[in-house]
Amino acid sequence: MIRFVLFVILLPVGVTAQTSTDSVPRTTDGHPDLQGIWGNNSITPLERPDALSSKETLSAEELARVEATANRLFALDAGDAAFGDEFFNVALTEPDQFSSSDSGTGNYNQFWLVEREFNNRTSLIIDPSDGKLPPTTSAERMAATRRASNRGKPAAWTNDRGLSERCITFGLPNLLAGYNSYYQIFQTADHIVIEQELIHTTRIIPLDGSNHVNHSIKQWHGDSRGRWEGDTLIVETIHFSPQSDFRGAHENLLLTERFTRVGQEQLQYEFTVDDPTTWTAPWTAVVPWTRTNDPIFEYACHEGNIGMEGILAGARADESKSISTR
Amino acid sequence: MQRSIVPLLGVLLFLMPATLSTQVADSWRIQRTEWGDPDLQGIWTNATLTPIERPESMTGKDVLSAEEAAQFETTSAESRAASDRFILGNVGAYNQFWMDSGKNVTTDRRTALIIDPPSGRIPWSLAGQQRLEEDLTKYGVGPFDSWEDADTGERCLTDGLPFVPLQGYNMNYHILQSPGWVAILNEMFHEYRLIPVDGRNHVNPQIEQWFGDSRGRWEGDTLVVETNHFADLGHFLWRATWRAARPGLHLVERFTRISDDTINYEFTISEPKMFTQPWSALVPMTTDQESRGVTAGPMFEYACHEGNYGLLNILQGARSQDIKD
Repeated sequence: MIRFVLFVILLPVGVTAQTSTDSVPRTTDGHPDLQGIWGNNSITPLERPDALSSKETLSAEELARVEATANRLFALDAGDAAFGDEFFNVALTEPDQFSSSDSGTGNYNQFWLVEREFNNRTSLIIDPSDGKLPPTTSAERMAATRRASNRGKPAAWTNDRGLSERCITFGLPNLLAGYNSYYQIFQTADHIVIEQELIHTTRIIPLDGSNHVNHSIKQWHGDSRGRWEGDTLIVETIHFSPQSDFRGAHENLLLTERFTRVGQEQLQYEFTVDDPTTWTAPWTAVVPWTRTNDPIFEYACHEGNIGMEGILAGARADESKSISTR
Repeated sequence: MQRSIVPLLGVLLFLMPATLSTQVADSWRIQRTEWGDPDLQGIWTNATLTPIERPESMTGKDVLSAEEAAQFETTSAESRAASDRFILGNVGAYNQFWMDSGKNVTTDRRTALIIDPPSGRIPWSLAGQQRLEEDLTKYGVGPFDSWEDADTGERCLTDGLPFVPLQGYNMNYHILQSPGWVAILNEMFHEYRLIPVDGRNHVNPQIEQWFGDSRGRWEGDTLVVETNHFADLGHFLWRATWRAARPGLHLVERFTRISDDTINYEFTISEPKMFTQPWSALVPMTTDQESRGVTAGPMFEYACHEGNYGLLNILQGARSQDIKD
C-alpha cells in the first residue's frame, strides 16, 4: 500500500495516458488486458476547491498535512463517515473536529468506508483547466432551483427519493470514491463486461462495430458501444432514460469513457460528458483506478435496512399530526 | 456435508440413461476459444413447452410420439390464442403480447425436463411437501401485510437458480468467456454471475449470498459449475418453492455445447431438508431463438416494476380490506 502511494505521487500530472506500451499486459488478441478488479478510492475531489484556485497539484508538504488531518479525523472504524469528495475537502481545511453532513439520525461511520488513496491532484476534472464544472445552462439552473426547493420535503412515495436510495442505480458515470467503489472488468475479443459493485450493476458492451440500438429504446445505463483506439478502449454511451440522472443530465447525455491500463496496478478511467442542455461546454475528468486482489460480493442494497420505510412512515406520521392539530 | 454429496452425484451422473447423456456426432467439431476452451458464447434461450415436472396425466409416459408432440403444440397454441382476450371482472394482468414462451417441446419430445428421478417429479421430503403446499395456498392470495409477502420475483429481487424456463418470457442468457472466467447475464432481473474457472477455492462459507458462491471447471468439454454457500432466505416466498436459497442447497450445473446452436444444460440439485434425494434436469438451450418460436435479438435492461403499480395496489387493496373487516 505505502509503495503504491509513493508511486502515484510521482506520476506526471499531465494525466494523459502515458505508459511504455511494452509493460502493459495483453490479451491473446493483442489488446491491453483491462481485466481484474479495480477500485476508485482516490482522495481527489471532482472539482478543485476554491482555496486552491490555480493549483493543479499539492506540494509534498501540503499533501502530508492533508493526510495527517485525514488520519486524525477519519480513523477507520471511528468517527463520522466522510463520503466521496467530503474526505479531501474537509481534510484540506484542517478542522479540529468533523461531524457528518448527514448526522441527524446517525447513520454511517467510517466503518462503512475503505481506506482512501492519497495523491497530489486537486481535481478529477482536467477540462476545463480550472478544474471546475463549466457553467450550467439557464434551463438547468431553473431545474436545479426546483430540485433544491423540493429537497427535504416529506416523501409522498418512494419515487420522491433518489435513484440510489431506491436501489435502482448509482448511474453512469459513478464517481463516488471509497464506498463499494469497485469494478470488475472482463474482456473478450468482441465484448467488454463491466461489473459495478454498487447496486450489483453490470454492462455488457459490444466492441464489434455494431450500431447503437434504435433511439426509442432508452435505458438507465443508455446504450454503449466500444472500440479500441491504440491502447485505449473508448466507450460511447447514448440513449439514456429521461429518468436517469447524472448531475442534472438526463436523456441528452453523451458519455465518452476511455479506459487505459497504465501499469500493472493502475487503470486510468477518463470520461467526457457532453450535454448542451445541461452544461455550456463538455467537460472531462480523469479518475485513477487501482487493482485489488479481493473479490466483489453481492451488493445488499436495502437488506436489513428499513430506512425507506422509516422515511415514509415518518412523513405519514407528520401528516396525521398536522391534520389532528388543524 | 458437501463432501458426502459430491461422490453421490458422481454415481448418479454415471448411472444416467445413455440416451440422455451428452452425445456428439463425430462429424461435428466444437468451436474453441483462442485459449482452447469450448466456446459457449452467445445469447441462449431455454424456452420450451416441456414442463419441468411430468404432469400427472403423463405418468409413465416419458416421451411423446411425433404425432402427440405436434398435437400438443397445436393445442397449446390454441389455448394461448383463446386466453388472449379481456375477461370482464378479472383485473387483467398479462395478455399474450407480453409472453414469449416456447412454442414447441424439446426435440427429444420428453414430457418433463427432470431426468432423475425417472418419475420426472421433484422428490419432495415431507417437510418440502408441506412447504410447497403452504406456498401454493399463499400464492396470489396473501395475506399481504408487507411487500415481503410477495414472492422474491415480484419484489424484483430474483427467482433464484438454476436456469429453467419458468416465467414464459425473457428466458434469455448471454454467456461470455475469457481465460479463467465465465460471465452469464440472465435477462430476468438483469442478474448476472461472474464465475471463476481458474481452480480457486470457494470463498469463506460465512459469506452467504442470494446466488451462493459458484466455481467452474472443465470436465472434458463440459463446463461444470458448483454452487454452495447460499444465504438463508427460505423464510421468503419464492415463485418456485424448490428454488428458494437455503444454506443446505447444493447446485451442480453442466454446460455442454453439442452443436453450433445447442447447449445441453443439465443441473443436479440437492437439499436434504427439502428433497429426499438429489435430482437432475436436462434443459437444452439454443441460440436459434426462432426455432423455439421466441424473439431473437439483443437483450436490453429488464425493467422490472417500472410503470407497474401492481405491488402498491395489492398492498393498498389489502389495507382497504383490513379497514372493511
